[in-house]
Amino acid sequence: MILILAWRNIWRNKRRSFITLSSIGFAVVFATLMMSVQKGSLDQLINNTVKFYTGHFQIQNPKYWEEKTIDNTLIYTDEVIEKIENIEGVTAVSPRIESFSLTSYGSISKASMVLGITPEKEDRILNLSKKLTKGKMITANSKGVVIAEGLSEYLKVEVGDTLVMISQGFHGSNAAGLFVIEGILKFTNPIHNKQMICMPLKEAQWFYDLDNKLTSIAILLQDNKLLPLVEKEVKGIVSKEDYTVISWHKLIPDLIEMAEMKYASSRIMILILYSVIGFGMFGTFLMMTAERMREFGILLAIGMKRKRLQVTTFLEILLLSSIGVIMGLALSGVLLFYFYNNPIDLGSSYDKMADSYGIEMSIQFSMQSSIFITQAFAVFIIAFILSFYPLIVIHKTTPVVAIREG
Amino acid sequence: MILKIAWKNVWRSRGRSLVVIGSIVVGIWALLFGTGFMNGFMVGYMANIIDHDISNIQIHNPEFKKDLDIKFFIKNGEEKASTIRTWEGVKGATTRTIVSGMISSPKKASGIQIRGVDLKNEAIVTSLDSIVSEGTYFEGINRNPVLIGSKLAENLSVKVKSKVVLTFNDSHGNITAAAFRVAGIVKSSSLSINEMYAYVRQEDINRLIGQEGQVHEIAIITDPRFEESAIVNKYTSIYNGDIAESWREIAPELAMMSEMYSSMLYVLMTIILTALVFGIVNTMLMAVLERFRELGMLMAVGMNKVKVYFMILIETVFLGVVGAPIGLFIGWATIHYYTLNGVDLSNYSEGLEAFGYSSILYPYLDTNVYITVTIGVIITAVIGALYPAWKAIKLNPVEALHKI
Repeated sequence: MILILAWRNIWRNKRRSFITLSSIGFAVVFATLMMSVQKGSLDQLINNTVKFYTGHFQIQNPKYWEEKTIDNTLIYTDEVIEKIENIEGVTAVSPRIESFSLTSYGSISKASMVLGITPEKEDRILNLSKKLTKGKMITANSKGVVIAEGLSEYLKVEVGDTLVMISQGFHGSNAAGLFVIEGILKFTNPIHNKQMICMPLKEAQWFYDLDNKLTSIAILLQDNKLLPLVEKEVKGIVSKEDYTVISWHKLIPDLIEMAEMKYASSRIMILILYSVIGFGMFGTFLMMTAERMREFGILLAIGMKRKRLQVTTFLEILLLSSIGVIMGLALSGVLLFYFYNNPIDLGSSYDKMADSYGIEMSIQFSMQSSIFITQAFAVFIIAFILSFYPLIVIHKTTPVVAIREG
Repeated sequence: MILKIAWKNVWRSRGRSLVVIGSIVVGIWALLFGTGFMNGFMVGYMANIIDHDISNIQIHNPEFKKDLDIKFFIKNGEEKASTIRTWEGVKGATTRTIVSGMISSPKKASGIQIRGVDLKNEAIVTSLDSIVSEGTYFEGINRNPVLIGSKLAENLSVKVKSKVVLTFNDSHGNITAAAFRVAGIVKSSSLSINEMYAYVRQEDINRLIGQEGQVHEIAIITDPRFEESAIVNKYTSIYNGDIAESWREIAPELAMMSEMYSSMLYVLMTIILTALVFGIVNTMLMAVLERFRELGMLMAVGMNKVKVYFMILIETVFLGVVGAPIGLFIGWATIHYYTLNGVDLSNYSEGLEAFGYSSILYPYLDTNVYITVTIGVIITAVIGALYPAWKAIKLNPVEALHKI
């Protein structure tokens, strides 16, 4: 009975119900939009930062993390790499040798970082070929190296010059070699730009006397949220004693600080939004009550029980909220789907730089289902709390006053 | 006449008026706090790196930038720095002598950058004294004190008062070694400060390299509300031969991140603003539609439609005028409170606390933002009333009277 009454009440005054519906519906749209842009940009921040160097996670020898020397290496097989590449969500797997050398040309020498890579695989993480400014890119079988622009300026070398490199190899063996510069790369990261030398993996293995060993395997994912899943699968592939899996949380501790700060500030922004939409909803609820004072008064005067009237009104608001939330979800679904596929582009002076990192300068939206659920729930709760206002009014009012005021 | 009726109408139905005033107050408050918080976030986010390490602007000899050779000092560096200190928008400027070298303890050795600093001005520019976690800021040790980062101290396994040896090339290219004693240990979230720098007194290092009074770097900290580029331009127009760069050029990654953040925050503000417009329009719509009976009555007794229309609009303006100062005051009070006390982000994220970061943001707002926001919100309210007012005058008086 009451339910039917509540339902009819909603449709009796369509205009009023429609306004209430839209205020609830749009509250859901705004809340999901806000949450989506915050989640999306957080994921993007992580996805972008790991592309600067580390990848989403790395496989290393457990001892390597404590002591980064060439002695703590892991054995490398193509089979393992291939298996990891085939895991869903993995976009790049790059076997690396990271070490140092003293690099000289003529009478100038400098300590530099050496990165042994498979160029085709590494390109998907560091985007090396886009960083090339002179000469050509190395391939897996070349004998030469590509060096960072800043380093080439310091050493006063050009493409075609031969570098003398001296370092320490596996178990203290002497490492020395001559390498022809095939190309020059411009790294945006100043430290890399001053020190980096990239050479094919085979050459690095020969130089450091490493046979088929590596210092790390860097892995890049389609998206950060796949990390726990992929990590688990990788742990199943590699044996526990010889390998350890280290995620960006440990590789780039600064990023956690950034991410956490962003997360915390986005919470404050969403609280501000809640207060705005909450007040908007309260406004419509309050008006709705004021508008219906006369109606309430008459109902009470002809003998409707207060409790019953309250239950009817409460049900009405609950019904309106549910419909509003569902409509809001549908609309935000459409909107987010659009923005998810068409992120807001930020035409900016950093475009070139962003390009050399292989990242996108745009505002991304997230489509995680949890956003819809939590925000719909939040708005529903706000509506629920606000619905006590008309109940209190009905509780206090007397028929005579109410009829007159209406 | 209409003014009077409108004013009386506002106070006749208090409940309704209070709702509209309330949404205007909340709107102004939300926008003010949101913008202030956003500003605080932008500044606070960069603050650690800019304030303690890079500074807003750095000046070098262009040759020095290439290979950090100590021969390439800034001509008359000290004089230039003291001139810069008098410029508008400059909070501080300090000079440094920068020498690449090696630090060794009995246990280990490590490559570092030796930074000869001007104690008083370095404290103003990078607040180096505030990040000393153990020991003192160059005090308590008479001869050759040095400050090192916590990670470096750990690597070298040295403590306060331990002896370390710094090795470097002097101005003639001779390798020189000198004994220093650790006066203090500094701690920061910046990797370079923790691991790469050894801070010494400028006069000590200058004496050791044999270049008295010469400096390699001038670091400038500016007022956060002041454009760095203006100071860079001013410098280059007065002194040629040196290279002046803002942190955007020195740390482009940071600049890129900052730009992405600010645009994201603008998107967030747009969402809040649209939500606000919706709230106000909805409330206004309800407020006018509720009065159909009353408005019908007015028209039935012969009030001109145009007059009714303007009456509704003027009422809205009145509501705005009453609501705006309240909203402004609450907004100002919130910002003022947090500018003094800061917003502690760790309250909103368990993670931050767990990692032991102190992340306190200090929101601030320019005066003109207050004005823009207030005018914007009142205009929004009036626009919100346009449609319902138009709807009202299209009423047929008889029908309107019949409506509940």
